[in-house]
Amino acid sequence: MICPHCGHDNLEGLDNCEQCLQDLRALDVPVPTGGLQKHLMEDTIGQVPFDRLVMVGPQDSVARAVSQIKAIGIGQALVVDGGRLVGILTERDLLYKLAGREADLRQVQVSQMMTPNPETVKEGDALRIVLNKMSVGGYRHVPIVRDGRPVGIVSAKAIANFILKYSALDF
Amino acid sequence: MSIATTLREVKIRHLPLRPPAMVERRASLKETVEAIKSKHLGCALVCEGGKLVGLFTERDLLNKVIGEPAGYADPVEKFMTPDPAKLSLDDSAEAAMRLMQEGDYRTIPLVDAQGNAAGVVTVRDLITYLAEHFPKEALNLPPDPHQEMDRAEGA
Repeated sequence: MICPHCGHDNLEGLDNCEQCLQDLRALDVPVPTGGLQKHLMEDTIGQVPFDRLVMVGPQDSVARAVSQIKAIGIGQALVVDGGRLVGILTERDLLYKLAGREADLRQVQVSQMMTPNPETVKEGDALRIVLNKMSVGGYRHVPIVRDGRPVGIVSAKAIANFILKYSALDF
Repeated sequence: MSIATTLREVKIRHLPLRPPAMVERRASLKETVEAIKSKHLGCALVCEGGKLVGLFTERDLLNKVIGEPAGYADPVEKFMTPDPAKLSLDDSAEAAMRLMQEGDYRTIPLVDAQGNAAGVVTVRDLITYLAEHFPKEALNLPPDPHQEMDRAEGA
């Protein structure tokens, strides 16, 4: 890595030039090559259509949450307490924690079934950040928050559709 | 190679697929749920003599079982999606993404040339593949000089 200030040939990845101590951090930031890559690195989550939202409280019954989820035809509800996101209740939670048990859903609280403190993103985050979180954590839905308050949810399917849209234009 | 070219050229069999849960159509819903859980998945292929006849996903569970007078002893064929849209292991990753988009699916069963159940591809498999093969775009998050931390580090 050649220092643009003094021309010293540094090892790749150094933060500062060994000779003149100039900051080199801006030099090895990956640069998108174009097309879809560029969209993934520079477009923000706000540019992908958000999924519809169902919000429930942690003290609500699972029966109530399930009927709201079913009514709008999605697979998860955000759990909100005092306006702040405290958990997410997904189909996966219901499959793994509830299926096969004979339970009266009106007696079970959302807080007992939800996944607490889910990973979140912000509207201004680049798409690669949500792609990273989905891949590393295995999530299919990541809530979008603004100052701790949920404003949307982005799904793996929405990201896949975004990639498909731009891959059709990309050769 | 660009992401777009890769999606067109890579076959579904090269994606990081996980071994599917498979049950016979007469299997009880309880057995099906156990089979899915034991593989840490969200769906099961429903077969008859090895041939794919249906798909049972967590969405079927949510819509047809949870909150209904559930019969976990009932056969899974009562709750499955019969004759689901399917692809072959040799179709492209792009074909899988396209079918997911057109049908609004997250899970697509895979069959071999004889129609035998051979696996399943999910939207998560595609995302994982893209993130692993384009690490510069996904895994290696570059520093953001304007980033502000929500909390002090270590606090």
